[in-house]
Amino acid sequence: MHSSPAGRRTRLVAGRVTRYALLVVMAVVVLFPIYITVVNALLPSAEIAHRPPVLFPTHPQWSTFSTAFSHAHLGIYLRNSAIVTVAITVAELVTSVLAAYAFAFIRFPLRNTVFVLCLATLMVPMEATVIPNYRTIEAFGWYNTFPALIVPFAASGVGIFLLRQAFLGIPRDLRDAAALDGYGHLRFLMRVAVPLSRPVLAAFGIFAFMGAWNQYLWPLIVTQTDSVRTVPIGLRQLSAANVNQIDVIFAGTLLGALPIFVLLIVFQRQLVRGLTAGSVKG
Amino acid sequence: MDGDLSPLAGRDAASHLLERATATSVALEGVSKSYGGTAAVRDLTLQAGAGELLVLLGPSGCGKTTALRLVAGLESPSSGIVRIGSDVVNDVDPKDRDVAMVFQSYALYPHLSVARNIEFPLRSRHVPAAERTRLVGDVADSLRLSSLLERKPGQLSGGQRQRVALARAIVRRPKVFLMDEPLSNLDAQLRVDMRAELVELHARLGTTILYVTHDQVEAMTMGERVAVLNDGALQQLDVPAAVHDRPANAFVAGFIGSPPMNILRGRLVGEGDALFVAVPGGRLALGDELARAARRRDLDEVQLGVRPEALRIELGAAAVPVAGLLGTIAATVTLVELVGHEQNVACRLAGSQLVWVRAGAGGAPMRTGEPVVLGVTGPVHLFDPRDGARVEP
Ligand SMILES: Nc1ncnc2c1ncn2[C@@H]1O[C@H](COP(=O)(O)OP(=O)(O)OP(=O)(O)O)[C@@H](O)[C@H]1O
Ligand SMILES: [Mg+2]
Repeated sequence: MHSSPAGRRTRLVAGRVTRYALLVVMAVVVLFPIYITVVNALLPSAEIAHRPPVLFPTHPQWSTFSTAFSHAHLGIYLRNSAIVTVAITVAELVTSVLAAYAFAFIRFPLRNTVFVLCLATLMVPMEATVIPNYRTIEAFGWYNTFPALIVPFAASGVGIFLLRQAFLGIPRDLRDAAALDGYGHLRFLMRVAVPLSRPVLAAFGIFAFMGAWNQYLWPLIVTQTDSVRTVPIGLRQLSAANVNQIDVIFAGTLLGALPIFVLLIVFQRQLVRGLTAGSVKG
Repeated sequence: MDGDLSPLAGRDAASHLLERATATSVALEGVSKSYGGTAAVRDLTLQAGAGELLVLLGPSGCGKTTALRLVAGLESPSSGIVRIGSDVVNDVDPKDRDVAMVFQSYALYPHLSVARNIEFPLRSRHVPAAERTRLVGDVADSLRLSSLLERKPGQLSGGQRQRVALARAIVRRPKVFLMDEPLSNLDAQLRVDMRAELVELHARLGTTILYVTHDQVEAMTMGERVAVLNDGALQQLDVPAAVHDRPANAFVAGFIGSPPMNILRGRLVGEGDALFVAVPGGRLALGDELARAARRRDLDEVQLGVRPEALRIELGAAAVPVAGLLGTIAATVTLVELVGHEQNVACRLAGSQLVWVRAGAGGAPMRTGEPVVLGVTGPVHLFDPRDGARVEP
């Protein structure tokens, strides 16, 4: 195989064109459903079922967004989702950091066994724990309350695993130096271990937030009234009850997904850094 | 101890920090430490006097770091007693031992600025902010770090990091400094400079220092006394000159010096009153006292120690023994190392043992393969091959 300079350049250009073509296809696949949701939210209900489908709203109907708040209680759902999601995210971060620290820095009997148990929870699908958890919640009298939505998710095997890895990357000398400098475990954790693991914490925090925000099955089972229903459940109730308000449901879906969009855009850089950078250098 | 600091208010606490320059002795008494099955430190007994700079010297893996960690309280001994001053500290928490350690890796906090790194130990001891700033400023001045206070450790050179690590140790005026090969990551020139600075710092602070190194030049130039370790056990503890001139055993002899002392297998041969050591290719006469000591030990085989400086190369295999020499050995030049204006020449004896010779300036350049006669100008050392112990004349 011999390649002239011109041939090589042609191949380079061809490679780049292929790459961009692939990226464009992928972008369309990802973005098209979102675009259709936006379009449908802005179309009157009657036009949504129109054949061929309308791909551009000529008379956008902005009122559906306010209707989502006034008629469909979207405000309450958003508030509930915010409470539940923030509580779960904070709880998962706190418990994961503490547990991961113990696994990484403290020697205690059966440490590895307990850690493997924590990891094993990752292999149990949510569907398998729904019934026992439901009974527990009911026994506590938590049915249709916020604790029912929050407490079962207050600890996370993934979080423990990720943070333990991050903490193991912290040189032991740092812990020893801090011990000589008068820092106990908790203060070392707050002043050194956590700041050094910020990229991983941020990545896991976002991950936890998205997971909590998008929960569907469990909140559906343990809620009964709008006072505790989260966005996905609220929208689902609405669509079940009100088929001719499908444009409102599209609008609600968009509004409900908005926090996630914002989160991803704001923390985009953190996420990338969390994936690429080692947590400790020099 | 930080317990006696916290009740004191503001300025008092800080001035207390500054005054406490009274030095303390440190001792390990019969200390052993093993990890699982392997012993890192074996029955180690040594003491650094108050205000002394004691160097722990030994090859990699001989337990130097472990010894320091035992003093710091980062490891607890499997057996034996650790003493700081007159107190047994075996059960005292690291933070209450009032020792500061400069780690082999420096262990700077990468996310904190130089200033924050230095004041880190003060924060945990509740020193008020104004005092912290002043103390950090003072230490930074004395270690020429003032212009770097806002940088992160990642933005510093090795020498600068090393000074930050020192500053962090100094700032709280501990009773004892533990320094674990603080210069090992620096280039040769910087190492020479920092050596002088550390010695000067020690003179200024008067604090007891346990200084770990595997670099014998560092040990010999900095230490008031040197403790040579091997395989977790103490080999010799003495002033540098004595470690060099009267090595306690064959290990110390073969470790100190550059190139280190030649250790040759030989046999004792008596001729009337005189006693000789026969080595392949020659023999040399022992002085009266050494001969008596060797006879007393009832030795047959011996290890003969000759420093490269105590050998002289006489060209030509047939050279006649010259007056003033203890003896001569026939050998062949195998390697010539030029060190500045000196030559280190490796010669092989008939029995295939290798001998280093320090040939001074001006001598004719050696060629490999050339047969030579080595003249022994002395002094020589004898070691008992059974345990390597020195035969003391
Ligand atoms: N935490 C540990 N677990 C098991 N073995 C250890 C541990 N720490 C040290 N050792 C072993 O103990 C011995 C002494 O180690 P140490 O770190 O004290 O050596 P050192 O003299 O400081 O070496 P170097 O000059 O390379 O730093 C080594 O054989 C080492 O493998
Ligand atoms: Mg070491």
